[in-house]
Amino acid sequence: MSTNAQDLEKLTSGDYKYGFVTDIEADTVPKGLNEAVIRMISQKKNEPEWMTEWRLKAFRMWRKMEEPHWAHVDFPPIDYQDISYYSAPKMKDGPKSLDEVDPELLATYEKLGIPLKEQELLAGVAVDAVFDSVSVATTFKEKLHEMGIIFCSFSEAVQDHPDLVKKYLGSVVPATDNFFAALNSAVFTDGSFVYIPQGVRCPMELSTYFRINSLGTGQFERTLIVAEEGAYVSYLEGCTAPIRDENQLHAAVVELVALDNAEIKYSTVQNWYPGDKDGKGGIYNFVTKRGKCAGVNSKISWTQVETGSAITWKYPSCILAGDNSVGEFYSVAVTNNRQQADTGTKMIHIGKNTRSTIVSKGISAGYSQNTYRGLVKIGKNADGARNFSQCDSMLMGDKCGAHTFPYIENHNSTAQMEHEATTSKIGEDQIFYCNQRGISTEDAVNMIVNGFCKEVFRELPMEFAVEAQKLLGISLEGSVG
Amino acid sequence: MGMSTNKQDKALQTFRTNFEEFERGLNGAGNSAMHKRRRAAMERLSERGFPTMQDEEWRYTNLGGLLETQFERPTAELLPDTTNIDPVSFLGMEETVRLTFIDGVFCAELSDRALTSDALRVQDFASVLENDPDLILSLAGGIDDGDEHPFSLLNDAFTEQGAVIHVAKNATDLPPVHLLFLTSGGGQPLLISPRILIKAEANSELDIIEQYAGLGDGRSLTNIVVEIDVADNAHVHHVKLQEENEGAWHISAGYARIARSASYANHYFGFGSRLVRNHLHTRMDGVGAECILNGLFMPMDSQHMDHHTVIDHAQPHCNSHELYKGLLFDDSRGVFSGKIIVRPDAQKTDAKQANNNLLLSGNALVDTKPQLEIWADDVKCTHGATIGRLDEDALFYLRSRGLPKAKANSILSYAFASELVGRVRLGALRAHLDAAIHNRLERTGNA
Repeated sequence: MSTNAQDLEKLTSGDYKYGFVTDIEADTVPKGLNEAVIRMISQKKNEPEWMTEWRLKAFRMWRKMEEPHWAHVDFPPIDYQDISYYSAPKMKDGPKSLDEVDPELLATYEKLGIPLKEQELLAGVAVDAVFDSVSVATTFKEKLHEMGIIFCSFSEAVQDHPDLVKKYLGSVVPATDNFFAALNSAVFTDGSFVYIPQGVRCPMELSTYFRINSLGTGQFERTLIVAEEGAYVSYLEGCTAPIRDENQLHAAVVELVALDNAEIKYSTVQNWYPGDKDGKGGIYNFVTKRGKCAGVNSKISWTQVETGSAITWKYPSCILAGDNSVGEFYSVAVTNNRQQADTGTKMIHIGKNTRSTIVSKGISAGYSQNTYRGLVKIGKNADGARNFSQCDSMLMGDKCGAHTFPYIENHNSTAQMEHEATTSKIGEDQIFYCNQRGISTEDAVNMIVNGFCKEVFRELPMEFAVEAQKLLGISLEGSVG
Repeated sequence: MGMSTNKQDKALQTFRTNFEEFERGLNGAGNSAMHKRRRAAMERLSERGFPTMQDEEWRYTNLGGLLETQFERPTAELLPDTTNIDPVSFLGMEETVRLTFIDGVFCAELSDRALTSDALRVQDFASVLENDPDLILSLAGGIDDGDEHPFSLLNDAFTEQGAVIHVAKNATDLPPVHLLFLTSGGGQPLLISPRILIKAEANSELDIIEQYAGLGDGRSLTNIVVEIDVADNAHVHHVKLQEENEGAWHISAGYARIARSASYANHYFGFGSRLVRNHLHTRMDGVGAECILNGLFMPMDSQHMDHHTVIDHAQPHCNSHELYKGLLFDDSRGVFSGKIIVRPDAQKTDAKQANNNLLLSGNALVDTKPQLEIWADDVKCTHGATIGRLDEDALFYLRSRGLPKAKANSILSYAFASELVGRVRLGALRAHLDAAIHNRLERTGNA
């Protein structure tokens, strides 16, 4: 093996250094799933009758469904009766101050350049009231309220805006859409609700950062974003920093609705615990994300950077129903050690002159498996539809796998679609070139990988993009930040 | 939508009845090793059942009509009169070694084996089975693909006719081998199950043309299995012409094993049949092997053409190039599913795959699924797929120079298709293909 190859292996075989705490006392319902548990969840959340019924309907359908196994991933059977479906972590159980937090974790935050106050939030430090009252988040919330923008937790939305929730909940991802969506519909505990009124352009990036101090991200999260006619919103989910999380199975649902001339930009950075070097532990991330361009000239854009989780299984999709609507999907998925990712998108062209763009970059290292799976479907009436897809994979190490499974179904002759994919590794000549100019192999790998992902990173909001680049370095190298 | 189990059962029953009748006619041969294989295949097929659209590999192809048809195994009485058939006319090539089959049954009168020699032995399957059954057992059944392609099992169960081609070590400059399969049509729908076995020994070179043509417009199911073994440093150029009538279902499976520094090229040209399902599986089993798969399909009316290819890079330093093009007219439907597998040890692999489709009618459909499955890191793999219609600017340019629309369509369509014709190395064959493409363009009103 050449020195370069050895270096590469050293770089990519690093441990996940943050680790996370699992012993945490919580307000928990008994393990298992039945109608009584669902009623209990609904009751604890003080939900109206229709919401309880909606959950129960989803649960009854879920019982008849089978766990899907078509994805290119491997995991031991999940015992759905061995999971506790409601757990509200008690804030007092967190570390008292940053001094008690794992120094490795802090080091990572430092590398990512996260401000001190945010570090406290992320590490789960119980936040004192003084900080909370003067928090940026509160200030922002007032400003949003003035413009008529609703941005709150899902539970609040069910209480305060039941008509909107009733109208749009399940309109894009029906309760019985698939096994995990049905499970989520039955037991989801919280999430975010965003409503942008007609003609309003949301003046700032909405982010889960704002809410994280009041509630932890749930195991079964539900997000619903509605952009009325001519509205615009950019939403950020997750964050680059590793978040403490005690649940192994995550089954979230995200629904986006864009009406006439509206635009929704949804960016995700996912960095959950990927398991140790031998693949023990780690989060199973089985997510259903779908956006509906319901109105003419509407646009939905998904950008995701996936570096965490033991298993990632998600396909953020766009239903392009309105004429001239636009769907976009930009993705970077990085897998290392024993991680498995099966991710991609679906672009369903229904309206005329609909356009979609897919840019997917997969990087696999170690013993990981990274799969792109996508569908582009042009319906019979989608005259003039246009799709461009590009799926590139990069392999680092000879034990990992990169797979591409695109499905292209065209039912309209006026449509034009292109798909291209490449798979390659970092060229030894590229690294040699950098070395020869005095750039270390570590930096060279970092640089080349970042260049490979550039097309996706530039779609991310500015600060996010900078963090994502750093994150990529950390995910791949373990020791370099 | 899934197929009802009822329909499945009926179809299996039809084939079982045929199988029992076949067994009764075997007399003493019922206990031979060959027949044990047939029986095992029939049993496995009964367990597996026919694929439905729920099967991932069959999701775009509906076999409903096929499974509802009562097929019958052709027997000597069902064969048509051959006196007016000129076998040379189908391809227009004189200097070939030709085996002709009518409804899958070998026809000695229409065959021509004058150019065979020790270097190139071309025999019909039935006589090899009689004289040297061990040879067949050694060449057939190298790849077990019954789960993905149950029709291979159906072929296995009814194997009795076909061709066995053996090229001796170091043999080159051989005449091309022409296998001509004629389907009579008319009368009872026929089940035709030819088996083709090809072995090219080390350092040899072979051109083979596999041609399917229809004599009438009746219904039939041609269900072929071709097995090709290309030894070290040997080169096989394989052309398949699919020109059956539109009453035929055409299902085929081809399996090629390519050894060290050897190459295998498969050029497919599809014009005929109501429904085509081709399954081509090549495996590069030696260092430095090469595989070339080219395909052109031009369905019209309500023809359905489905092409599945698997290119398996099992060894390092192998190259593969694949190009499939579809030109679709009227209400036709095309499917392409191409998978490239690069095994963990197959470093320095260079694999390229492309599928381009041109829709010439508003009702034509294409589903395409190019796939890469890569387990090694030092590789270069690419695939691309496009679906579109004729370029408006190019059409405008031609029409601004006074060409009628149909003519402009024809010129651009021909340009699209001819790339694949140019890759065929036998000149006489290229002329035949050009004519076939022009014929298709004329029939669809693009001339």
